[in-house]
Amino acid sequence: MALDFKHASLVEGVRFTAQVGVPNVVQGLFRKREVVVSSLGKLPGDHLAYRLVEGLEKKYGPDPFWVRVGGDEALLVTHPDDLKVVLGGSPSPFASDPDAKRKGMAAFQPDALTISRGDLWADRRAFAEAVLETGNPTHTLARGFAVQSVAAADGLMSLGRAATFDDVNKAFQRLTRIVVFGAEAADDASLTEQLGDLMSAGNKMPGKPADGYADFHARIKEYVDNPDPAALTGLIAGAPQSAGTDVPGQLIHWLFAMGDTLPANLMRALAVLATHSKVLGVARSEVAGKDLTDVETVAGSTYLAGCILEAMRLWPTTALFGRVQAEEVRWANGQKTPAGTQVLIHNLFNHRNRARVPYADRFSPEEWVSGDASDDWRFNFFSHGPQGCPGAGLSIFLGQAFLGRLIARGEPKLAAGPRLRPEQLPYAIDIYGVEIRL
Amino acid sequence: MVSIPNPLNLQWYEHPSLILQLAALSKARDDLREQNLYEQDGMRPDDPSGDPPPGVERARTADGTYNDLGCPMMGSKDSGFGRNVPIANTVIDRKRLLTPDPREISRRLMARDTFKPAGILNALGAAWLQFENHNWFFHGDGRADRVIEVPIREDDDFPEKPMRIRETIPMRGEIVDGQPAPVFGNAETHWWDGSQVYGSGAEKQGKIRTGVDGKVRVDDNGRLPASDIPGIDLTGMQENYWFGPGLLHTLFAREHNSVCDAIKKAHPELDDQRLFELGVLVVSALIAKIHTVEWTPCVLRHPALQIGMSANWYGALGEAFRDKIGRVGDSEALSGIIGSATDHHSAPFSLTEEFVSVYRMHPLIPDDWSFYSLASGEHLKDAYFTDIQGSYTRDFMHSLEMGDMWYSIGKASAGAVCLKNYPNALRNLTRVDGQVTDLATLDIVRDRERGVPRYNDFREALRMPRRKKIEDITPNKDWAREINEIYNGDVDAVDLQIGMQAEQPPKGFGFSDTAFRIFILMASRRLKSDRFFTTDFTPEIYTKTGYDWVNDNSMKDVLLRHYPELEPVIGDVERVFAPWHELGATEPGKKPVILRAADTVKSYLPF
Repeated sequence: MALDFKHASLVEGVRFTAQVGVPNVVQGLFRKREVVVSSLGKLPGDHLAYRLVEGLEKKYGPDPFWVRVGGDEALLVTHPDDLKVVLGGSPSPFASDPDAKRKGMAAFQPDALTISRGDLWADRRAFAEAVLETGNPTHTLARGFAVQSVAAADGLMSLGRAATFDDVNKAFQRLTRIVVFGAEAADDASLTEQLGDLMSAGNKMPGKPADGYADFHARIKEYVDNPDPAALTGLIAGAPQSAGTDVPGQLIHWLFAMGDTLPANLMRALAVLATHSKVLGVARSEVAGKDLTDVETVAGSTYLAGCILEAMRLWPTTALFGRVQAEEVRWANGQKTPAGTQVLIHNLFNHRNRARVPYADRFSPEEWVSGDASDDWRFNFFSHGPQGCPGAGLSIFLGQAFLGRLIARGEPKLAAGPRLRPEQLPYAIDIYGVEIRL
Repeated sequence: MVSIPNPLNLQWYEHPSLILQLAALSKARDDLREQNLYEQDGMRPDDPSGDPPPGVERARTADGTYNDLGCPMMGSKDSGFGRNVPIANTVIDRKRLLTPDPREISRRLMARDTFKPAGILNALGAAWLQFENHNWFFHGDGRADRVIEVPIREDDDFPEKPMRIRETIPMRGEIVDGQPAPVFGNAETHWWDGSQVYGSGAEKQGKIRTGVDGKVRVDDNGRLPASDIPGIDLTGMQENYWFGPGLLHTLFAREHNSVCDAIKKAHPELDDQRLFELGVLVVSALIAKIHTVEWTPCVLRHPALQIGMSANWYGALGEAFRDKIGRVGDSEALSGIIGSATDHHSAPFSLTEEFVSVYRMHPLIPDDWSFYSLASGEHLKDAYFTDIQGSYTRDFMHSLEMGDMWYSIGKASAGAVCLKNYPNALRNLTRVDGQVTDLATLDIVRDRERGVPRYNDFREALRMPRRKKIEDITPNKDWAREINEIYNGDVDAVDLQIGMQAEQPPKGFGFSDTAFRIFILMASRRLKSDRFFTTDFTPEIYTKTGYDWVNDNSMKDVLLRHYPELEPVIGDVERVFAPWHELGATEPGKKPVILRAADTVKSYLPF
């Protein structure tokens, strides 16, 4: 029996399903349902989920262990060594298209890179890396992007009232359209709305493209066919691609990640900056009096980058994600798990593991600047390994320019939202309840 | 346990039901604990004064001291062997040291005529016993100028005349004719502490350890490194080395390193020393468990032993019960020895000369070996035992894949422990230091030299019936005739080794009931006296990871962890110490014939 991992009990499985699995579904896997998220945010749900997984890990870890989710047992992985095996071994043997994810994503991005396998995955990955310039210290088009980010920040500051998440999100969605498609698309808000509708359909995990997908795809294709040299579409012609790449299909994910996920993280980072005067002071000293349309200045504001990464760590927008084994795997100590095994990674627990992360519940941007946070495979908001987010660098850059401008020019104050204690930050911040005066 | 009347004076296995047999065994063990544990003065140095050194409460020490915190020197390296017979029964008879002629006994009664397979035990099981013996005892190398000369007849082809056997040197004083045997020292620790892997004593352990993360030396290919003894691996015990123990020493060095990795994963704050200590604790306990619940029930296939040995470890309530419910009170009978209170019974713990004697089971080792490819099943080569041992070991092991050697040793049967089955390679063995020895002759001489009673006296000391005539010892008439010739019909002169190997064992047993009496006493004592198997077998001392590791793993798990390529040949095997099936011989849902046979209690013995 030792060459199998330990098994959590049936009761623990029921609790795991209820406290970890189900909330992820009811909040909306892809598009968060505002009413549900807000009401859950008032309950200590994430805290309970953390406590539950913490207890399970203490009892059955640090090796991976089996836990029931609904009717099936899945393997929960918590230790960085094992996360490295899983994420380092993605997409093969650990494919990133578990059934639920594939069925949901099929609604709005059926040909996405993250649910591709084999040669098609390699083909699409090469395309994404070429356009997003993964690994480049700064993107070729970075200067223009910084100018646009600063403009978006300025727009928010001129609202004349406290900014809500809706404001930030809208501003970022507009920025996203400019970055991806060019100025032409700046005010094409209906495209973003259409994506929102498709993502809502994805929450129901239909397993096939939702109604309207073909039209949505056609609209994106139009932008791709009329590239803007100042936007990412301008780089597509020079990127490797084949008949199977489905270029418009790849861009959907960028819209989704930049236009929804990133602003949520930035909103939380802002909330912390507005309530942590010391952190704000350090961040501000980094950018004060500097031109945030200058690429070197933006890229060099590493503490600010740390602030964004900390918001991502503390409040991961994806609390739980998974992999599925495409083949049998033998782990370091001989344990063998069969093809089809669902592997779960609970970011919420891993990022906050207070037994192993000394700064678990503190906002600690410095850990990303001079500590070893960036080498820690526990922190997977951008994932890690071959399937690590190819646009991570670009999105942090956009965030740095945007946030840098807001704190260099403005004085963020929390107008509404939770009280944040620096030493014990909560497991959830309901961004729909946050308002920030800039 | 309630004492059950035994008016017919039946032996334990002669009782009509399993319950009565278990009750009789239990009573026999209680009597043995009461009446068969002896020691002499000067067994061990005086206890050190002052406070114990730091850390001894939580870990086994390199020299075996401080296992018993109240008697720190008990069981330590270089302390003396105890006895299982009263000291007065160990009187040395120097005049009869070579009578009857031990070399003649070797040639006529012990020499293997044809290989008699044990059937129930594979050659891995044979190697396992030697691996274990090397944990437990070693009388030292003796001195070149202190030898016993055994005359060799003209017609004998033994290469040296006379045969020279180094004397066993007592801890103090000398062997005196007509006096009880002096105390002989054990160069190993007496404890079941993995010293064959780690070495006894800090100096030896220093050579084995890497100094990083608690690990021991294993090279990049997963093999043990070379030592300064030609052909012998760098490992804790390097005497009498051959490829079988070589495989096991390698396996458990690797297991140690896996344990250290796992514990470090759970406790990244622990340093090299503590990780090493924990690796030692876990691996020694795992070895002890494998020996108790896997090897022993495989070699002793009697139904009572299948229950009895598991009971030693898990208790009568069984493994599943203990895992779910935990221990029930402090009862050894109900919940097993493991985790119960430490108890030395009637004497401080030491291994004994009689224990060493009954474990002289050299007939387990085959002379002729065949090696097969694990990948294809094809026959690769044959080898004679001489060429796979001693200084030839490393070269031989490097000529084959580890998987091929495991497969070949697992597939081969051990020899039956009986007369005329002593490996001839061991009867003409050139040791690494150049000594030429007949180990069969040596086995006879050693018992006589150390005052181990001859067969009938030995039985009487264990409350077993004396045999009135040689024909009563064995049902094999040819053997009885030859024993009569050698011993001139004197049943009381028959050596312990000869009696045990001539005896018909109980049903399913791989060795004699006489040997078994010492075994049942000492096997449980090795556990019961050891603080780390009893009061300190806890998650607090072992860490939870270490504690679970001991509880969850079996020999098959260990093998598959390090050699997953063995899956096709042991994946469906219940007993890894029974001969493995041929590669590809298993059909889905149907066990191969050899496995079905191995699951039965039918053991081959020539009676």
